[in-house]
Amino acid sequence: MSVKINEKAYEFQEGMTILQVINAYEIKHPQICYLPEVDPIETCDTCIVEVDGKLVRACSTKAVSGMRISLSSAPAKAAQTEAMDRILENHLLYCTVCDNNNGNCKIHNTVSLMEIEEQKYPYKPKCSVDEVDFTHPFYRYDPNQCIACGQCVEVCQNLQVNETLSMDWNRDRPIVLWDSGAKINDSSCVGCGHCVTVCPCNALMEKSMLGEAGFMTGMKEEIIEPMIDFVKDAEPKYTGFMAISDAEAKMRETRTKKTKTVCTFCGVGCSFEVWTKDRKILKVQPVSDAPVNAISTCVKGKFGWDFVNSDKRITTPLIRKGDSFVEASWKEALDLVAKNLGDIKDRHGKDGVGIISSSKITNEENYVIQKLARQVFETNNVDNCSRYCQSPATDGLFRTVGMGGDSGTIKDIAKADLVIIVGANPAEGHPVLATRVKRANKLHGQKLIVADLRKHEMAERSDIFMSPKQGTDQVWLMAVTKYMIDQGWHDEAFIHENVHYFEEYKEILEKYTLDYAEKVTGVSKEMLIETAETIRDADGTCILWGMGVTQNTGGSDTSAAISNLLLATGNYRRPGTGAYPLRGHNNVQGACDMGSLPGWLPGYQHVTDDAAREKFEQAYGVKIDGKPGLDNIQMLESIDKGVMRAMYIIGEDMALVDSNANYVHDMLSKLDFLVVQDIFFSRTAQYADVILPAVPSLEKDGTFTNTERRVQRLYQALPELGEGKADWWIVQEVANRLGAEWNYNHPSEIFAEMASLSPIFGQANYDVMEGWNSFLWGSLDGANTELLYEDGFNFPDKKARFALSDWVARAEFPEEYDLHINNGRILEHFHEGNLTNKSAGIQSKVPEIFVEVSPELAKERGVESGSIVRLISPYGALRLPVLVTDRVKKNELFLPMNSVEKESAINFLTGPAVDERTNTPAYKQTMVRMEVIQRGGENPLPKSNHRNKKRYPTTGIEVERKWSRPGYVHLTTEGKR
Amino acid sequence: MAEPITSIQLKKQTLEEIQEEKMAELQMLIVEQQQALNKLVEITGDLNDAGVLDAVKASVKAKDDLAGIAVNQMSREPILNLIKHVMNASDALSSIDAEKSTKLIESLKSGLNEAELADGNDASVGLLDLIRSLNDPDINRSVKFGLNFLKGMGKGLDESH
Repeated sequence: MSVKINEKAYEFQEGMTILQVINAYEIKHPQICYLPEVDPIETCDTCIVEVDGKLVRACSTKAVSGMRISLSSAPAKAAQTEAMDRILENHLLYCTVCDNNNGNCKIHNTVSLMEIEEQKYPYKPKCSVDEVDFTHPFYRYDPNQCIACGQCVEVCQNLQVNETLSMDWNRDRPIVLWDSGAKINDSSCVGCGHCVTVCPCNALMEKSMLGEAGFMTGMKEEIIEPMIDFVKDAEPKYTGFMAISDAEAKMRETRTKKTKTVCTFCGVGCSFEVWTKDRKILKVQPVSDAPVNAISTCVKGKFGWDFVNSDKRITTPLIRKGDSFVEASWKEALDLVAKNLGDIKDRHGKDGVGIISSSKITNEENYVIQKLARQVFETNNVDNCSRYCQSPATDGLFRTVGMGGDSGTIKDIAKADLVIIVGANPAEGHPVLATRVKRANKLHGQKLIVADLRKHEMAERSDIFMSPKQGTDQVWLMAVTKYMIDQGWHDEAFIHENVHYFEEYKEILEKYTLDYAEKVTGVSKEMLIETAETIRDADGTCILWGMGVTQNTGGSDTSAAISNLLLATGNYRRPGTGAYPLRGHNNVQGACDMGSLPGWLPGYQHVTDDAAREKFEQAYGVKIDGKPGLDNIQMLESIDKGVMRAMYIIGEDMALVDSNANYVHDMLSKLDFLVVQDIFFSRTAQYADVILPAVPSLEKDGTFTNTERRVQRLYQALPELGEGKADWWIVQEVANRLGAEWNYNHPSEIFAEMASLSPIFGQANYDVMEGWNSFLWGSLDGANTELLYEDGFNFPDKKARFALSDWVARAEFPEEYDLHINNGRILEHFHEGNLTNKSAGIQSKVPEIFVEVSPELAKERGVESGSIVRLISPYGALRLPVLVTDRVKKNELFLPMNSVEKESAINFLTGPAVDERTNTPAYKQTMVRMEVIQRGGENPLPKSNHRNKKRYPTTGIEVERKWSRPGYVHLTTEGKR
Repeated sequence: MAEPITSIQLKKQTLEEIQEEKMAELQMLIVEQQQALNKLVEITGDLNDAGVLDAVKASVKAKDDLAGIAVNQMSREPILNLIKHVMNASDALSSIDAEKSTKLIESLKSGLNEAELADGNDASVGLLDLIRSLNDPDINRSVKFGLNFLKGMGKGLDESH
């Protein structure tokens, strides 16, 4: 199929719009409001072309074979020019002194492209200067520069789907509204930054750019304004000053450094450019090329980077001397670390030393850390924080389908007919991934089922929201599976061809009747049947789950039950289906992939696999123990027994994030020698003998692996701060002082060594991951694999296995502990908050911690928002302000985990119960009692927080309302009729 | 046995230590960049001798005031007018076909040459000489060009009214 554009033939694929064809061949054509990530917006009219004698919008007209398209016929040109004239009436071109003049301003570039010399309608401001909205901590809106193209509205309503922005089409000169006309900081805006990213000009700007980006943009208003007037007067035609501003933009390019990086917060794996000027972070700029997120970000990824330049960073090695840490040279610190760790290994043997790696650092760093453990200390005692979160999910998948990773990508999740979310709140924990579910649900008819204790945003948006009793998810999952099999709604052919142990599984399912499930979970039979019917009717189901599943005594078995349900209904092996445990940290997947686990060598080769072990023994020149080492939890037990004497903890605030923190305190205090490597003086660092200053992601090269199994490169954007060093460099220095003779000069060499030993990474290297490219592991031949199991499941016979497990009852607590306390992340802060609490903007939105209490319980106990309560569990006590909200119900409390203080951090309440198969702490199974300390008090959540606001949903930009405005003259042939 | 502690003693460098460190860094720089530094010193010396540095120093200190004055001055009607003239003139020049103007300039040069050569001839030119000279094809070409130019300019004046 082909069309003729300006008399030349171009091939295209069915379904493409004319504009997509134009862009595919990189033909220059104006398109101010075009955004590939959303449906055509159709507000700007600059893309109008003539097709077989008619004027149409190229963005919304499908290409049809044989079409004759003219981009520059006289009528087409006239329409484009009129469209641009209408835009320029709303936007003053003062490019040279504008912070958005960075070579990527859509309006500027379109004026240049169209060779516009003058404008038909003179620029007129819409409001007074003091109506420019500076209230939000991170961005500002200037209506006087806004062209009302509505890209910001469309992304807010239909891509991020936070539904805050709308266009005031009723106004004489339309402008953007937050909610129904609130100040930005007083609206339901979550600060995701989508609107700022897509703004084609400077109407929406990151505050960090203002007065910083340009050479002349920092000048005072009194000088800038007359200067703009002067330029306008002196040069009525635009080419002259466009040339000057182009030159200035080129100058900026030499000063503004744009570096591709991968986000360091959650496991979604957003990548974007970070713009820096010396050490200052000007902004984060997402691009359409980013494979996971394209132009999407959340408030942390877009704005939460202040921690990088925080004066709280550790910038020199520190050695404990008496009751203080004293600055030391690298040589002094490293010599001491090597000597003491070496001595302890010599005196106390291989089990004398334990190493904890980090899900925040790169793959290369995780690889050298496990190598340090196995080669230098000759121990498998190496683990990472996946033990606290994801090990049960990995276990459930290994048992059933054979690979410990998400079945597909974020695109499969968007494509699915049905998404089921169990025990996870991606709208806060994995915000960009959640946007894809919210969009599919709002626009494309995707069904959403949520099973959660809390009525969070995803629950509010769901088609079915069930709230099973804590720790009973496995029961309803198995009951729904059984019901579907009983009704004959399972996929018999898929099971026959692909799965073992179906008969045995049916036996296990015997007792999971709807009645039994209703009794145990509290979810009604009707709702379970409706759930089963929805799965039956869906063409493709994806199940997403999080810590609400894994951090339970039956976390692994529940994960396996999810996989069983997918197997029984044939929801594997094709696009838009599969299992998606949502990895919590930017590189928790990678930390596991790299073998910083007691039982696994890099690339998921088990230490009990003789052939794999021999390969590593040969490469490392040592014997490797054929038995798994100690995990995090067992390491602490080993300290208690006096076996483990020293630990090297890298980038992990164990004293805060491990369950039962009071016990962790005792254990860390017992160590003979503790090395902590971090960027901040964490709670764990307080126990250290030596603290080594590492650097964050922006200050190093390497790779991260996201929840999709996607490996992406990050490039060093900033020099190391102070004496800080990349973790791989530090680990190498320690190893070499203990005789390892490593010689890595760059992370790429480490990656190459890892890939040479790990078949699933066989075809990965730094070149194939250059720039925005990425690599997804998932095949034993080492090929890039977006969707797992297309050639069968990862077992020798290519068949999956139903996992045969009953559900595990939850941890028991004495009766006096009458309230269940749940915990988790909130949108604004990452995890315990060590990174995000350095951001003044984020702190202004969530300055302190609080415990969420249901309205029923608040009434019963006589507390209100701002009251102070003491929560007491068998393992500790906290003192917290109350926030009353119907996100929680009855006797269930929710404590966000963003606290680094002993009196408010959740893990001073949690206990020793663990998942039976993986030792992951059952953080979610904690009961407390509540004492009221103070009845009244100030609400801990500021009024300006989005949780206090009501969203303002619309169908999007609603361009029809623009077209029906009095005085709007259509420029298309169809519209003119 | 390690109890958690929170005190960090940052090494307080004495003034002498800081000076020593900075001196060492500077010495390294001098060694590495000796040639460039020599030139730089020479240039600054020359600039200083010429009084340029004093002027630069003063204008940098008064940069905000100067920018204000510059903008104010430039925005004044006569200056703005002048700038508009320059802009318009350059605009006009840029729209003339360069090939034609080259030819015109060549012709002008040739005319000047001829005139120079004839400069020594004291004989006066009468009206008949003038009429007769129209038969000279070279002179005729020039006169024709001039008349057409006047015609075109007249048209242009009419359009602008």
